[in-house]
Amino acid sequence: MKKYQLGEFEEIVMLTVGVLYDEAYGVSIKQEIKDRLNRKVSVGAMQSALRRLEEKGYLSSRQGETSGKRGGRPKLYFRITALGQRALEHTRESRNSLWDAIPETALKVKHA
Amino acid sequence: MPNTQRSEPSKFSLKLFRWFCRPEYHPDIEGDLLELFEDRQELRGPAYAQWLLFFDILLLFRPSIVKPVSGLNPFKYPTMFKSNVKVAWRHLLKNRFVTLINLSGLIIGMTAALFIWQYVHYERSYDDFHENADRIYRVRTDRIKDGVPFMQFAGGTAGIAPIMQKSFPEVEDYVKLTGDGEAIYSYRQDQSLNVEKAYFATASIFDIFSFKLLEGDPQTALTKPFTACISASIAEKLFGDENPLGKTISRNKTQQYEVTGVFEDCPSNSHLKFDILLSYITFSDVLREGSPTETSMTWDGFFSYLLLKPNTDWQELEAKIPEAIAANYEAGIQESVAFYLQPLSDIHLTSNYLVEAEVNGNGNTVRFLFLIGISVLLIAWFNYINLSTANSELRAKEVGVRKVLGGSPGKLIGQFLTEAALLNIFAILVSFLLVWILYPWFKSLIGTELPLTLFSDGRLLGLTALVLLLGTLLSGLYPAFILSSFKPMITLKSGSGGKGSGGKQWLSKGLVTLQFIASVGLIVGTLVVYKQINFLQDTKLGLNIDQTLIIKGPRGIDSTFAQKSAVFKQEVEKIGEIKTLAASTSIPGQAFGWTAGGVHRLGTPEEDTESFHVMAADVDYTQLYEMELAAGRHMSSEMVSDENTACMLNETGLALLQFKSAEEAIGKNIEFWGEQFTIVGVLKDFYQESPKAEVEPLVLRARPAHWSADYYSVKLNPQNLSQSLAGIESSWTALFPGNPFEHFFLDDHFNELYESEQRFSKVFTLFSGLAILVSCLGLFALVTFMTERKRKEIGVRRVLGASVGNIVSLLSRDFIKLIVLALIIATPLAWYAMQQWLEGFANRIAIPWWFFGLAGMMALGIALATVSFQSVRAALADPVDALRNE
Repeated sequence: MKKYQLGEFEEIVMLTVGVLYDEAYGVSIKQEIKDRLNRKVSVGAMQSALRRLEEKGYLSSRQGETSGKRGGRPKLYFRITALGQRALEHTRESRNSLWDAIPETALKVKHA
Repeated sequence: MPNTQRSEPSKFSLKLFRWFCRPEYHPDIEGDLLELFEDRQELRGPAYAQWLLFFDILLLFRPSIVKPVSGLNPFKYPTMFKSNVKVAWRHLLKNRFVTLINLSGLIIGMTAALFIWQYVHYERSYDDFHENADRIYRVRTDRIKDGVPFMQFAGGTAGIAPIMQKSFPEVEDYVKLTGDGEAIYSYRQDQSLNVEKAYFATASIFDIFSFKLLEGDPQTALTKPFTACISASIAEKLFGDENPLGKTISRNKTQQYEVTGVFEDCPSNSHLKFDILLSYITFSDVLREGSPTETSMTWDGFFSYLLLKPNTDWQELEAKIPEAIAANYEAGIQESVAFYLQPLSDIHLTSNYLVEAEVNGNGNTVRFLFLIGISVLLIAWFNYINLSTANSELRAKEVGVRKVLGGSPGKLIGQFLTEAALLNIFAILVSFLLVWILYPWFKSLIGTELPLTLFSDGRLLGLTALVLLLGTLLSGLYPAFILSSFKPMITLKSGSGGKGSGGKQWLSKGLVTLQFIASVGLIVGTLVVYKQINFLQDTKLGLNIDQTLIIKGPRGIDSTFAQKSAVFKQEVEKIGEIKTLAASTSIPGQAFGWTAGGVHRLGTPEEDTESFHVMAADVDYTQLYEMELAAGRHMSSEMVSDENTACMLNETGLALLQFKSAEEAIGKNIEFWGEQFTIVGVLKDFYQESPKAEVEPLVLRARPAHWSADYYSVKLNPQNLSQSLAGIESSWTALFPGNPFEHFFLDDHFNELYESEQRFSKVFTLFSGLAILVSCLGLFALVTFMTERKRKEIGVRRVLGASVGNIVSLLSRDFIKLIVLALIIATPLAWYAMQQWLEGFANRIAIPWWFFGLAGMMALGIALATVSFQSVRAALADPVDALRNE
């Protein structure tokens, strides 16, 4: 369905937001992706993905506390919305159905 | 290990970020950046952190994060921009007259410029599709006698390219081609396809050039004897849906070639075009086996293209060619032949030698048209500048009010630029549309294959739009600055611009002068082109080509030909309306074809020989064409010996053999080709091909009966034409069965010779007309403004007794001065430019001085008519109307 369009990178960002739950803001998401997936992400790529997802309504954001760190700038925390959750589930389902549809022999050949 | 040295993040980087980032995203992203900066500094030190910060910021420059553009442009607020557009729109509507004149001028100017731009771009794009275009050079040849080149060929000998590659490491590869002429190809028995352009080519052709091979292997396609590559369209015609690879096609039903490749049809902007390529090895090793073709230094029928190594200085290489010739050939050869390199991209517009692959373009024509296109466009822009500044008086109050209400000059400039942009963008769009609609018509006017790439070629379109927009900006900027510089106090008090308007008038006068310089120049150009073409057409050729029918001679002749030809002549001359028939090896309008070296007077030493063109014709040929004699007599069938030993010279040839007078030559003997001839008559010089070229030395000898006749010339009466034609045809088919009866009238053929000049003349006239029209539009509007402004003055003058004539001259005087000035400046410019164009003709007119007078009078007349249209009306108006309402 066209309704839930999620790019590969967007999906990773959203899942990571889910993993971090209440602690998901720019730097932590970046760090998490690096730790878990060993994948370096530029601030630019991530921020633009985050804003895009927010615009699509898949993520919501709230401003956090300010502290002496970060030059006194507030953190912006992200959380998955209900719509975002449905989009993720949809992606997962479509992938699963594709996986299921692959005949076993096809994969075997590949491994061999 | 924690780093003790701490530093602040670079101000510049953060400033940069703040500048482009959406304000609502700014705080938290900057927070992230700073956090990362601190972490990185901790880990790897400040320099590293600083760099990464900068890098991150650069990577943040993406559409979803950057501020929307409105924040970046001079119209700082979207509402302001909208209001600008609205005001501009209203203003344009309110001043319909000015808007209309500006618009029509701009549209005409832009459309004309776009057409010419497209044409020029196409002409310059020749051969640029080859990836190696900048490394490919053609080798061409000069044949030299006594240190002077007398024949310049586009091609060269077969041996030159291999010698170049062997001698110079700079030459990476070469491709050699030689034309195969017209032939009939077939795949199935019942097919016969006439193919005009075929070459024998070496296998490297697909490596060096970027002609695309659709099927087959470019490395091996032309390596074996009797293999051929055919173009996609030929493949379609011969094979339909079948795969041509591996199939056999026959050439003239005699030679069989295996198809080893199919290439994409040659682009129309390639100077080298072909439908079929045959493997060169077929030509060199099979067809000409045993003959010294490859080493011969006398046959210039081969095109050689060299691929040079990158960064080779080709002029240096060219200078070294004589060494290679000296090393490979006997001593005398360098004195009689010289080779030159031509960059591939220069060939189409600059090369005009003997035996080109096709008739090339004319660089001069292209340059001229480019100049005309620019002129028309500039004239339109000048109009815009002139009209908007002249109009400024009317807007002075608006400017004053805006300024009083706090409008800064910057904002006012924005306002006026919006107006210019609105007008120009509309004009650009309409011109694009017009180009698209009128294209077929323009194509037929220019008369060449000219694909419309303006809309499909992204770079060209971008560049075009950029140039037009830049012009818009420049033409809009000046009025914008003038208008926005008005002092509010003065404008509100007096209702005028206030500023000493001397400078402004100077500019407007200057622009009008420039417009008329261009107009006068173009008028002169039109006159010169027209006169030159008329001159060429009216130049007495020295022979009469009227009512002459030409029949192409039969091919494949045998021993019975001499007799058949004689019978043909007898039968045709019996037809009532036909006076004479004469066979010859060439006809007027055609090159002589043959040349003979070693022509000399009998009794002079062998070394004193000259090169002549040679032509053989029936003895009554010269009388058929009514050629004039300088001395002696025409050849005659009554003198039996004429057929074998008589010859005639032209005056140019006479001088070459150093006869002091025509009479002296009569009865003298000359020798060439191992035969002796007696000069029976001297012909006055006549133009064989056309008066475009110079008269060359000629020996006309009688045609021995058994020689083939390339052409029959028939002089006939125009009465009962169809009957005569039918009569000729019936005896033709009876005598020469199997030969098509190809015939045409010589005067039609001659008219075709001037076709390219005539087209140039048409284009020139059209665009000059447009330029003048646009200038006059501008002038008309200017005068309208001026009379508007001087309404009161005119009223007062009229009341005080000034005549209509006085008023008109008052209003027109200034403009006449400008036009006279324009004429003075335009004269030398136009003279120089047209002289350049005339250089291309061997016989040219001297530009008569009265042309400039005439052009000036025309410009003046048109301008006066334009001016008086308004000024007379103003002068005739009842002064009461002008004076009553204060």
